[in-house]
Amino acid sequence: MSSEKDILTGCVSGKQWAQRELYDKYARLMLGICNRYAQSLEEAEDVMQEGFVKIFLNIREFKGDGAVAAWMRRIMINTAITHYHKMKKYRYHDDLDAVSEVKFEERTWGETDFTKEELYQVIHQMPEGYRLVFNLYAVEGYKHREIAEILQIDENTSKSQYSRARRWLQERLIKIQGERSR
Amino acid sequence: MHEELNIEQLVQSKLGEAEVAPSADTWTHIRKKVRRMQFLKFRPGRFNIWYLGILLISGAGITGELTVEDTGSEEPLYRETRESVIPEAKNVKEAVREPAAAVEKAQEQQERQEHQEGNQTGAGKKLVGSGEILRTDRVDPVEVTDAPDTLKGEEMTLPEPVEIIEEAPIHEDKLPLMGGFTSSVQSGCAPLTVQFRAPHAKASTYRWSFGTGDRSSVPDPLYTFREAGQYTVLLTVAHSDGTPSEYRQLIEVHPAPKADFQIEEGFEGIDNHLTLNLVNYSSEAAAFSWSLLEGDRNECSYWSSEEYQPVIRLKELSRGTEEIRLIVTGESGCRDTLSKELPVEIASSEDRIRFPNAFSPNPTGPGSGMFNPQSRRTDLFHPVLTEVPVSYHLTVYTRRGKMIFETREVYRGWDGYINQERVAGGVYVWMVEGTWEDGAAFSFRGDVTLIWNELW
Repeated sequence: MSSEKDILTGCVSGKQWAQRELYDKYARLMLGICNRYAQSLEEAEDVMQEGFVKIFLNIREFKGDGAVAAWMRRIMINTAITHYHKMKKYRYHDDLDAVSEVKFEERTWGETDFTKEELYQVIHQMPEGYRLVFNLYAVEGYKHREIAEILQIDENTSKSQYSRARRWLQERLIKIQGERSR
Repeated sequence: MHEELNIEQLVQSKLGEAEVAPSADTWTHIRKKVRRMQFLKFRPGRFNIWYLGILLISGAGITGELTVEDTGSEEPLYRETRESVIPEAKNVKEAVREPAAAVEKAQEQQERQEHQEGNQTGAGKKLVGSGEILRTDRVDPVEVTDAPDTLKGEEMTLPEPVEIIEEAPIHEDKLPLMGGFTSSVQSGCAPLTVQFRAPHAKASTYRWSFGTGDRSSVPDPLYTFREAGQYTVLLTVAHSDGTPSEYRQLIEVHPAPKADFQIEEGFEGIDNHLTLNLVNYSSEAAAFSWSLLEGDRNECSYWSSEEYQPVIRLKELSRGTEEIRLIVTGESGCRDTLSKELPVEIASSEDRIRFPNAFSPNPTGPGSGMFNPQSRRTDLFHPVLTEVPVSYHLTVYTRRGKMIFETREVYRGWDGYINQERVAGGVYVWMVEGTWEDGAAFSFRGDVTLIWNELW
């Protein structure tokens, strides 16, 4: 196993062995990210492939400041966003009415309530707009102002989508728990 | 241990750094794409040679080619898209594939060798003198000399228009997502009117599709989205040379809330306060703001509410209050306002009890005299109350001073009869005495005209 420096140098000169090592080292983590933005594992793999192609072709843009993983992560997320916009016109979306208007009560969860796979599955089923905003805000930690800029939407839209998204998610998790205990 | 996590923490802890194993052939796909893209990538050092080659072979084709690129989208253009644009180049390309594959193989072999030597010599060579190995200027020449001689020779003779594709710059924080045309607003409350403007280009036709089923062919349409929703606006520009460009933009129309309510009169509590119940019929609203308006439309300072359906006690209202206003706000910040006049005239505190100056009894016979203060009955002589007194004594006299009706029950009025007999029409005098809940005593007198209406 080569050092990360060697791997990056190799990737910059387009060396296949270096690309392979970078891939082996980070593919699992990157697919973990893409899988949160996709509606299926297959789609996540497509996005990750596209992301890695961008990474290899633009590795020179990586200035060496900060971890390469963080840089790759950003590219994956951007690729997922681009993919979302590309796919949008082919898909039916019903984001607007997906959440009921009844009063909803906040609740908390235990670490072991759900498996990773269950959570991924729920996220895959999430309406696309919700999924994007939820990921960007809750997991990636972007501010609504930034999300509004990234997605070219209104800041308030980002906020309202987000509150609907977390509600949608919680309602779904409650339902899963309910079905399980039956 | 049972940790209490909110939904954000739950997802973060389970999926924030989660790993998922990719399928076995993923790497092969990536590798193929990267190979191909690297081979097609534009390199400034060789631009002139290729440019010359292209000029020789495809001649005038290049000019059309470049204009297409100017107006094109932000996505990197791949070989596939180009092929459809320049049919002449296709044959050349077919011929190119074989040598290209051979070259890739050669390169791979070389790489493998280098990797084996890598840690001793290969890597060391590139690391000379500094840690800034990733800087572009330093790496570029390496890459050029890197290529085997055979590859160089091949490339020089290739009249490949694809080679001049410049790699799209990658913006780390914000990728260009949509674009082409401009819109005056991207989101807003329904109905949302948007001014679209097509990009400036020598275009022969514009085709707009607003995502609602409506279409337009003018360059700069003004369009109103009536319903809430997310609309992908698509502009197809057919250039004068027949090549189309497509642009997309997302317009988000927020649902507009609608304020609506009814005022119902009612009672509340053991002391039977008269109330105004505000019954909410608003739609698409997330927040409610109620206030009272005076005659000059100023807000009253003494009462306001954020409740969904507030109840106002009549005795809380002070004189001069005329309207109830509701402002609703939707989840996206859109608003709507509705004002309604109060159904009752608000009396000052001295006017907690008032009497009519005329009434018209039921000519068919006497009744119980009991009345519901919610209904304004004209067949009974009774007061209008904003508050129920603790004690109450009402007496009615003829003009000569003979008492003909008396009650200590607040909700009993005079029906115009004495001992089942009608009294004569005309003017009668009344007196009332009592005490309010707050201890204040009251005593009023006045007259009332009794009118028999046989058509009743």
